[in-house]
Amino acid sequence: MPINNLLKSAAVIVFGGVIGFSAVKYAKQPTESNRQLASVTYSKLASEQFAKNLFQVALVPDEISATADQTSTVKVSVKALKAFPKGLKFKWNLPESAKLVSGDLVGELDDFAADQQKEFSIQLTHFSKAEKTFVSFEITGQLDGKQIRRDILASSRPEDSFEYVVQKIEQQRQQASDSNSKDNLQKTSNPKKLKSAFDPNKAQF
Amino acid sequence: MKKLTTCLLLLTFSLMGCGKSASDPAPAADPTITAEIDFCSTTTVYASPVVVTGTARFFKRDLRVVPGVSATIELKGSTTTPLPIKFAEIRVLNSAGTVVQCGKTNSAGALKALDGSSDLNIPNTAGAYTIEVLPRSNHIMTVGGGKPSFVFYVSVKKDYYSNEVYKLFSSITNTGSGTISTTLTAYALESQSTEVLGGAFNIYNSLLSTYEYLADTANTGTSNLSCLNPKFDVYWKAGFNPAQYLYPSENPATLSGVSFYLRGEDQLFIMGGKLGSVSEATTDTDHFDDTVIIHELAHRIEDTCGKSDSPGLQHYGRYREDPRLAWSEGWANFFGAHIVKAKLSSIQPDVTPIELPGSGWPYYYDTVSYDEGGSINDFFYFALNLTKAGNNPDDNGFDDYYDRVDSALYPGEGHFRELSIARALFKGTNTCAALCSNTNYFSYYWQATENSSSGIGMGKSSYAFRSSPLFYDRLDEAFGGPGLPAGITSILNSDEAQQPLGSSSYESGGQLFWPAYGIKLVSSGSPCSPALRIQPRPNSAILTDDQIDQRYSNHFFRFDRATFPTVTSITLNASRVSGSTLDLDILGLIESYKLPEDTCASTNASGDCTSHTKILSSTSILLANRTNAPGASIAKTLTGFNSLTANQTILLNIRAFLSPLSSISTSTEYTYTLTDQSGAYLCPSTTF
Repeated sequence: MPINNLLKSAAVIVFGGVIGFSAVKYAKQPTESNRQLASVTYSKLASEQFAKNLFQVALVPDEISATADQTSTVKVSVKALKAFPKGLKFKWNLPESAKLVSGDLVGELDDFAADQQKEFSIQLTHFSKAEKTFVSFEITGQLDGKQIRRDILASSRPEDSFEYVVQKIEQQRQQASDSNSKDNLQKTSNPKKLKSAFDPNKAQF
Repeated sequence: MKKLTTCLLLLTFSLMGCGKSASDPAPAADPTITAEIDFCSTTTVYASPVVVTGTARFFKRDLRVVPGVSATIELKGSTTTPLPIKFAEIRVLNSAGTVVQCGKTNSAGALKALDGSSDLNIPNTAGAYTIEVLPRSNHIMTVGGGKPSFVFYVSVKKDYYSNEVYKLFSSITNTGSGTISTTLTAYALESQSTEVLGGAFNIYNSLLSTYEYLADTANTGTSNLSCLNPKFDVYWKAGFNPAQYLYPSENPATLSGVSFYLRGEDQLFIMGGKLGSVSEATTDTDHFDDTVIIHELAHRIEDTCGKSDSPGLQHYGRYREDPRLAWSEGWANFFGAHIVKAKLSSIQPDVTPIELPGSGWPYYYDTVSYDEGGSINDFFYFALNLTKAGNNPDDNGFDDYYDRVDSALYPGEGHFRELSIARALFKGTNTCAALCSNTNYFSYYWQATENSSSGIGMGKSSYAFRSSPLFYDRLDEAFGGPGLPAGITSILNSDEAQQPLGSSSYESGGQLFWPAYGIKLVSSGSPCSPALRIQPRPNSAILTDDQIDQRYSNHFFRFDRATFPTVTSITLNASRVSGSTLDLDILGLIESYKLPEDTCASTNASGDCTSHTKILSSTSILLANRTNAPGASIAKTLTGFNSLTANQTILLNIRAFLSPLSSISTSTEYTYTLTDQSGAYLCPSTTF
């Protein structure tokens, strides 16, 4: 077998391994705070910005079933940055093929105290690793005359996304950079936040 | 070996292959990045050639425009009218994958030779061939008499790493003689094109349409637009949120979707969805949101043909914000809506007059997902009619207005409001039922913003702290001032609260209440006339949110070391005239500052800030005297000017300290002077 073909085969195996390992790691990664993004400029006027100053929303890692007929759980945590009264609405949007096993698809958020955290979850079938489908969770409404809107999108196969590829590439860049820097000699046990190859300060939205 | 290594890395980190071909690029310096393939730029002459004819075209998602008091704009199914793919690169490959001819589409999307008019010839060797049309161009724009030519030089690519340019292709069979006709069509719906190629070509078309607008001497006169010549790259992928490039650690499920321009890099990133989704109920995409695409291009134009001082930071389109940010975003919002209006048939062929107000397209919009007849019913973020009055603009349906201003009550307010700036610019150069100038003044706008050293624009290096007061000063100059046309003056003074430099709205009784943002200081042997007076105001939920009020509680002056080479210190002497007793500070901020907000020291049970402490140092603060000295009389000396370099420019910030931000009387006023160590007065100039 020519050396090129051998290397290509090896690369495909490595690639598959990386994807498989990382997919599990990704699915189990700890919830990450989104707080710093509240100060980041975005083009979406107002409604999302208001929401970011009011609460954080995070996808809580949970098991996504291997097959469509098994039950998956999708869980979201909402943490208030400020107190706010009841009245905001939440809504889960499911893929057409999905079947709800438990949980409310729509509802109203109760009042939140500052720093209070609550979780919302549903269980469903036909949201599995067998086929890429999406579940979204959105919070909308009005508070003090301000329109609030915030959503998250959960994929049953995030490892298939290009966002995932970007994360892997930037991780590799970071590791290459770290191995060449003196800072590497003083590594701590705290994982470093990935530094973008781009300077976010240059971004105009 | 190096090539094989590159291959392995690419296989590991992307789904691309590394097959050998004649067009394989040289590896880039970064092993995760592959260089873009070269332009196809060689014409090959064949004896007794076969001629390829036909056209390249694309479909996009159509808009559903529902005009009214609060208009809605949604994406629906495909347009029925295809648009031509104009001036785009053509590559013809034989069955071995070798490029046998290069060409270019013409203004109708017809397949032509590189000169854009001759036949596209291929060899008379029988066999299978592939015609490729790419959203890539290096086209010299057609310009009017007296105007230097410039180049539309762009690539629309899949991602930052592969640098792969999108391709629309058609397979043809060459029998060795005659003419072969083919039609290449890029479709908009996922069911027709998994890559949504119509999106790539729509982005390309929006950019080209903008260049066509700018090439017209009716719009930019004889201005030299060669500043647009450098190649720029657009990265877009259906189902991908490019914010992930900026924040790779963030969980993509919660990372907000966004399109953006990377300043200084000539790179646009357009939102294609998220996590592989382009159609979910909450998924935002921008590849068919032409006003957003052109908004990002506006940032690039400002960067290359003018200059942007925008510091970024949060902005809502609801509250007073940094005037540099407000200008940059307002300009881009305006430009997006303005180009769509001016080039509507090239950009939105199926929008009908009945869907628009009588005076034509007035919207800056952003859609979410699309409606193909399903049960989803929330398809847009906003659709802002930029011809509306400043005191009665669009709202979100809850009486929550997008940058509503009041010219009489809050003069100058609009300079801190990006949507007010967008409305003023739009009304200032367009026709509408009321409030517009009804004259095309865009060529004057261009002169006022450009960076040509021989021009008068605010992009020139002699200007700093670029914002709308400076723009209207330069616009005045473009018109040969003093005095703007009546139509624009009316918008600024009576409609959008953007009274220009020198307006009597800012003066009363020999007092100057608002020195224009970033106005330079000059030396005076006598006290300033009119005298300086600051009117700190409590923050309100409508005007300022939770950040310091930059319109009322701060004054900002440009200080040039070259103008004051011997100044060692500046003293602020302030006296309370009315209202609350508070503290005033004096700071020197670097030219590229981000306004440092004071720190919240305590919060109540609801999480609202109840007191602040002064921020004393940040990367933006060069000099500061923020000693705690509230009182009816305040004297503070700012030292350290010796540390400035000979040509350094800083921003002198006179700043009221409010703790909490809502704590003071609405009638608070302090009069003040600024003097140097020898007692000479520093006063605002009458020019920038």
